[in-house]
Amino acid sequence: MIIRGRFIGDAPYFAVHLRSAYFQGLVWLLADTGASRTTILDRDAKLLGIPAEALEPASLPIVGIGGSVRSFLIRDVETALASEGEDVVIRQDLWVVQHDLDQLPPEEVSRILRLPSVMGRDLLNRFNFTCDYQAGNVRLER
Amino acid sequence: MNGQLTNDLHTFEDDHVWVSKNLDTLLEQYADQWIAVKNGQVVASDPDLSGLLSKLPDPAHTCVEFITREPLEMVL
Repeated sequence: MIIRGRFIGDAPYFAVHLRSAYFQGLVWLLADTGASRTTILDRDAKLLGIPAEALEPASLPIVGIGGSVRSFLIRDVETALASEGEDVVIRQDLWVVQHDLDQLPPEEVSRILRLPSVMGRDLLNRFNFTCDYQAGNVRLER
Repeated sequence: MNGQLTNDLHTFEDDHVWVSKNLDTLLEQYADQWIAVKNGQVVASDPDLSGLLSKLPDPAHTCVEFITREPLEMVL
């Protein structure tokens, strides 16, 4: 089973479909081996229309994403990826990080909203992750 | 996973790649704007993300990107 990603510039991305009891939609995730958790950032939280009742305040602090942020968990999210073989559906909790955009100047808000959501090691490590930029090959396999 | 979902994922992926490949052309018309892309076509644009979302019937299934000349180095 192989899930193929794509490079945007030099960065590896995968398309996923998320579904929970509160929302569903498509997200373009940056594969980030430096992130321990798959995390939805501000723009995608807006696009998905994640309601406040879906967000459970996270008990663990998030370090690494700058500025003043609030972190949340969304329980029991189904993450689906398109593969060349069998279907791939993984059910797990996801993290959501929201910056306090109302307190920031417009140019800073614009930059934060450009940040992609990330596919962290909690998902990547379920697969054999290949990221070969020179060959244009990024994929998840198992 | 059903076939429709697989198609949606591939189209969504293709739309993001399309934006990247056509960035120079998009900059001529949409500099410093958010755009929504479906099937390789810009279907809406707005300088404000909330404004763009209000124009989309289904933002959760649409490729949305900000078109700008400003580089953004990310260390996530």
